[in-house]
Amino acid sequence: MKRGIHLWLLAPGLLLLAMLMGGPVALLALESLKPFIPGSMRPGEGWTLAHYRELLQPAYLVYFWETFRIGLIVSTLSLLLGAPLAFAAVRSPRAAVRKGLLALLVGLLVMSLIARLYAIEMAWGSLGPLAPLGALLGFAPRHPRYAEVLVGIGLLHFTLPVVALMLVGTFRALSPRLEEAAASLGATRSDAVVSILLPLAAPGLVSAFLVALAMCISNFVAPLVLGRGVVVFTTSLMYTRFADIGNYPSGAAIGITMLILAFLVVYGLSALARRLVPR
Amino acid sequence: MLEVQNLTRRFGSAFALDGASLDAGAAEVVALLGPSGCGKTTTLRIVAGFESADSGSITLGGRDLTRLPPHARDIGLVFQDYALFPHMSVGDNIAYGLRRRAIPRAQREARVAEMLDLVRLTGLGARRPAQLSGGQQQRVALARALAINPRLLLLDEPLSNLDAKLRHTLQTELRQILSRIGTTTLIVTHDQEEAMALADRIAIMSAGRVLQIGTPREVYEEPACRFVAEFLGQALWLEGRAGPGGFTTTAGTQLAAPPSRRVAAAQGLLIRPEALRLDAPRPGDNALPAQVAGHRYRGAATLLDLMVEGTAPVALALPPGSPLPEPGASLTLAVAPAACRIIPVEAG
Repeated sequence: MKRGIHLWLLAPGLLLLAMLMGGPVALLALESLKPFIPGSMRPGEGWTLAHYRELLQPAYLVYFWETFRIGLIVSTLSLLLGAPLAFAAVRSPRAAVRKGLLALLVGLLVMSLIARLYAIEMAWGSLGPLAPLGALLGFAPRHPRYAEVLVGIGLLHFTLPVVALMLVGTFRALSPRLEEAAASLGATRSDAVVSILLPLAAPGLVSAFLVALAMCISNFVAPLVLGRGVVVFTTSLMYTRFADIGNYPSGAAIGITMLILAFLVVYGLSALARRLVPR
Repeated sequence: MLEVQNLTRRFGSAFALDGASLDAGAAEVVALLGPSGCGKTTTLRIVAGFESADSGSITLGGRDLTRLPPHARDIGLVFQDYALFPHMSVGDNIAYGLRRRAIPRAQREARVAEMLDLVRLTGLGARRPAQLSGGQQQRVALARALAINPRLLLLDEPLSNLDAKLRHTLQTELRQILSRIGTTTLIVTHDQEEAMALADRIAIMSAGRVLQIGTPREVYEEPACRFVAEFLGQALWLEGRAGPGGFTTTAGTQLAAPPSRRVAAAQGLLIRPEALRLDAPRPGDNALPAQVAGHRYRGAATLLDLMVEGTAPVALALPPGSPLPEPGASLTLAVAPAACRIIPVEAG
């Protein structure tokens, strides 16, 4: 009886979820299986896997590879940079440092991504005052890798505050007493981090990493503004299919493929994390 | 063995520690006892190395610890909330310090088993801390701290997270373990009963200073000042001045008392309520007028609240069946002069 009431209370939410998310994704999946008739907005009759087969060509695989490669690099970087920031924001003995870091992270989060991307472009672009610095690091502004680095920085702007703020929650839940206990038993600082802090923070680190990855691979504006056509994500490809060519079935096929790939990556990484850190 | 000298620690403009000193001999158990905010926890954290003192020194077995990081101090610590590593088994928790010391596996396992036996948790090494009761977790924390055979054991409010009944059992058990292992131990507690039950000597702290350090009997019977007298147990404290052969209260009552052992400008008179009697004064007894404020039934005894010269009521425990004077009644209490102590108001 009681259980039934609980389920009924869930119903409006479930219905909304089905209408707003499940429905459109299901339609997208159906669309991806329809043949495309050039020049027509309406898909043809019957069913086909042609749009998926097309994506297996090397020319398309590169897009997926690039999207995930840059996404994984940026997620790793945001974890490496975000974890110490979050740790300092939680554990710094100075209240001013803790508050300042939190304010900075929230500030980054609320600033428009477009504005931040153009700020990066202005600073690091070919005419930017920081471009010579890039050249010093071995990347001339015209080098294709340079665009990639800029896209990476742009995405990092997007993911870092989110990752750091997520990890603030993770670290807050860990008692400093645990590290003190480790220290009193003879563990050096780094020893305590490896044996106590990291294993206990692992679930939080994995979630933050996966959220960063999801944010990266679904991002559209960073490659658009900073990629200069050299760095193209699957999102750009999809946009071209839908908006420029009007090939809805193909765009839908890319979308569904990304969805499946992302699920596989999330599942694979979570399983890996569970293995590395037995709970 | 342990010597803590003149620790000071300031937080902003407030002194957390204001020249605290104490010592503990080999195999001695010393309790740091005081109200919250007196600086006892800060002292423990400085001894453990988690915080540093602004001035003062700590030596352990002749070695100066003052500048050493916590992991190099060889001090076992049991935290108030135990701080067991939740992702490790009980055995791995106990073995943690041994691994850090690169003890070979066979020896390590033997030591873990030995520690589990010591705290009567034999066979529970594979459990996770979360699968244990509070009392069991407390014992794992103790086993983990003792496994490394520390030169000093620190216990931070060791029994405060346990319910009253369990606390009693564990108190006895902890006392036995401490005397068996013979490690110098510093216990931080706000519970005087715990301090009396566990410690060879008690250091009473207030406002960042150690006011007195002595055996439980010394600090209870010969307190160094009014604070110590009133902090431990119940105290009837009468103001007035000491004269030859006794004490004259502000209200003018003359009481015979042995001369004070301490010299001080201002002194008061301490009488423990258990020394007060309702029966007729014997020759040589002091007579002390009092009023009955009320009584409270406590099963094994009835507490008679007495007001003497306008002081806050002190409770006199009467055995069951004793005739109870009416509230408001005036009576005369008898007290032997030897039970009256002239005590300095301030610690010297």
